[in-house]
Amino acid sequence: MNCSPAGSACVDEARQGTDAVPTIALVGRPNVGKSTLFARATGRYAEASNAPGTTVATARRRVDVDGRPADLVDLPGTASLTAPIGEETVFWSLLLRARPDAILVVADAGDLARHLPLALACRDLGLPIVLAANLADEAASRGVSVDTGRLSQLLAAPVHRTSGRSGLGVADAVVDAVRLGARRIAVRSGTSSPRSTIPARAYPLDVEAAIERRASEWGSVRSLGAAAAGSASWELADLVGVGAMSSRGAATLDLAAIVDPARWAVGRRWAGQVVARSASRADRRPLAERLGTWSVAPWPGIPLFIAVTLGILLAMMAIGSVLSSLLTTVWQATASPAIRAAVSVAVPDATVGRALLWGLDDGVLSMLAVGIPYILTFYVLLAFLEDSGYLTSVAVLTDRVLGTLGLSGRVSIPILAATGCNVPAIYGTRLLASRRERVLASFLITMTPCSARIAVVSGALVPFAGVGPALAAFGVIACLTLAGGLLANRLVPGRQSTIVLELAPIRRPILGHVARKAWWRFGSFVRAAMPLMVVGSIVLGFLYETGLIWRLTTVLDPVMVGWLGLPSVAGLALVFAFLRKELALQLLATLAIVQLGQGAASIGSFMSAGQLFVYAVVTAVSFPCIATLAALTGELGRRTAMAMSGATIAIALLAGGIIARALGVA
Amino acid sequence: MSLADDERAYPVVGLSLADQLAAEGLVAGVLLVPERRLPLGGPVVVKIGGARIALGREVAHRVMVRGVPDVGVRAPRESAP
Repeated sequence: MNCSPAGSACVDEARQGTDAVPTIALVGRPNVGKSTLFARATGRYAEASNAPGTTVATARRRVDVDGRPADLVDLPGTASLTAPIGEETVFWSLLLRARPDAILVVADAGDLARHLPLALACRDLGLPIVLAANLADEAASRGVSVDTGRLSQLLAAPVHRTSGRSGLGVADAVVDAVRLGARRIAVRSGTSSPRSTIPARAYPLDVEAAIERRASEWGSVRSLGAAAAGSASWELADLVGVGAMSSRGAATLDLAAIVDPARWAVGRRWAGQVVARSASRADRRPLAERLGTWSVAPWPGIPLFIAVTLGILLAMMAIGSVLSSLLTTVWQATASPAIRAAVSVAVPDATVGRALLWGLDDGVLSMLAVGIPYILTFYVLLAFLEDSGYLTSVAVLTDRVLGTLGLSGRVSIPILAATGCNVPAIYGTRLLASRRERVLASFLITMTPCSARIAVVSGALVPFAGVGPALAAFGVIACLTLAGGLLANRLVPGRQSTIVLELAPIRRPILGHVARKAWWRFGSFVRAAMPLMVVGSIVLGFLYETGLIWRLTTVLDPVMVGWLGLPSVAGLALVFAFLRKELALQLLATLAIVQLGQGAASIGSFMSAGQLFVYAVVTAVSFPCIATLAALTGELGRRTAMAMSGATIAIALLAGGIIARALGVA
Repeated sequence: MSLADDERAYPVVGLSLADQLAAEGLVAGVLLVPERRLPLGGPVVVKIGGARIALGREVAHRVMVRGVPDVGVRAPRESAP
């Protein structure tokens, strides 16, 4: 048996290969370890965390199973096939668009009663399924064991004990799923005779009778075409028509109101038959469970939340500044002299050479000094929090506060993710129930400082004004975000939704997973930001070396100098920050380095502490970066995205001018 | 009856917001154990089987339960049945 990633054939987000390659969809409830299992099976990291909704888009990768290629597709976590996970997205549609030949259902071995209904729903679609009783090691530590043989008989499908973390049983489950998928392909292509794939009926007779009646109606859709579906969903009709879903599957989706309760009853009954609990261990209440209970209690939950938030900010500032000094020193001692020597030899024109050094040396140096140390630190801290399962507790604790902004506590998860990067957070709002909630949440997200903007605030204020002013700046930004949220809640019409959320269990994060996740995100950030930083710095260098920069900045002077009390060149850095927010400070740093010599301390002589405070707040609150704007446009439309961007600029400039006058810098 | 008044178990006999709640396993017939009611109109946290579900107060008010004394069911304090 062999299940391994197919090296260079691994691809995301695109169906590769031919129809002869079996496609296996991974389906499971949120927080069941599906993406960890996917990463284990494919040998490559997949974005996953101990928080619902981490996987919002799908990921497709090719693996080699006993010499046979197969595609694995990781889908978003879902609680059911019939419950809406967003206003415009229905999970079964997403599932069947992946065109799976088999489904690998990932369930929690420690709580099968809760996970079997989804397995039954998948089975009802008419596709072969394999059940991975995942987190089996965790269940065993709680004294829970599963009779996989008996469950396999009941479900009429292979069942494996698995652990995505340790790799237990993952390969076997994937091999079985690929085998079933390949057999389905063979049957469909006529190279193999069909076996009986109809499992024993599990539901009460009246439910089964209703399903049969509705299934016979859907049967006419298959024989007569989608038009026979009448008023039913055209997409559902198409899927039945082409055989991607059985008539029974369509019937169970239609009759969710009566089938879902029956599935839960069957799940409880079967779990009672196959799950055994060790009495001595069951009596003990694990520490993690007690922590979970405490984390949503006002005491000590709220003080803990405040402590965690402040702890993250302080740790990021402390670790970030140490890393910053280290990386800056190393760069200046090693790479910088070599690059300068190489450019002086290779580029005879002095002006062009100096402009190139703006990007190749000063640009990279300022990124090492300002962006990378803080962002890397933040990604590690965020990954740790995500994997601990604490984020859902935050959602419960903040529900009431977010309610005043017209949102439910569920929004706190994308907002917390936004402190890493706004873009995936905006995609994460797809899980919210209504467009109103998505608009309000996206607006809050654009005003929430991402790691780049946090780096700007920290990098500008901690070294030159101190930790106190940096914390004060974050306080001002939080107040502005709150004010913006309150205003948006009054302006955007619609009804507020309410929270229904399964709390993730508190787990001890695996440091290796935390490191891989942080490194993966950090790599994505560097690949996106570094070219922009270097090219942006070179362009700026040409503008500076040729003197054009002072003509451009003149246009911005009334706002930058007159209203905000900032140096005129700061406006140019703010405009360039549209590419990447971290450019706002790094270009300032680059200007300072070029004007006043090497060393990050030059920023302090370039701008006063008051000016840096104003600059940091305006940068943090104003216009989103180009990637965020693209995400907003894609998710909510151009008009909404532009309106949000305009609102953030207005709030930032208004607040910046007031602060500048309060601090006496304008 | 408010869900978070005590720690007894309640068989659920009817639901609103059926789809969303059914996806979380809150269907007629299950036993739920209120765990915590957050102050100032915050969510109610209930246990269903091994899972803990946070329900907004508006949702919690729509979940109809039957009192325990009628059926003589009482869930253990540490874990729901």
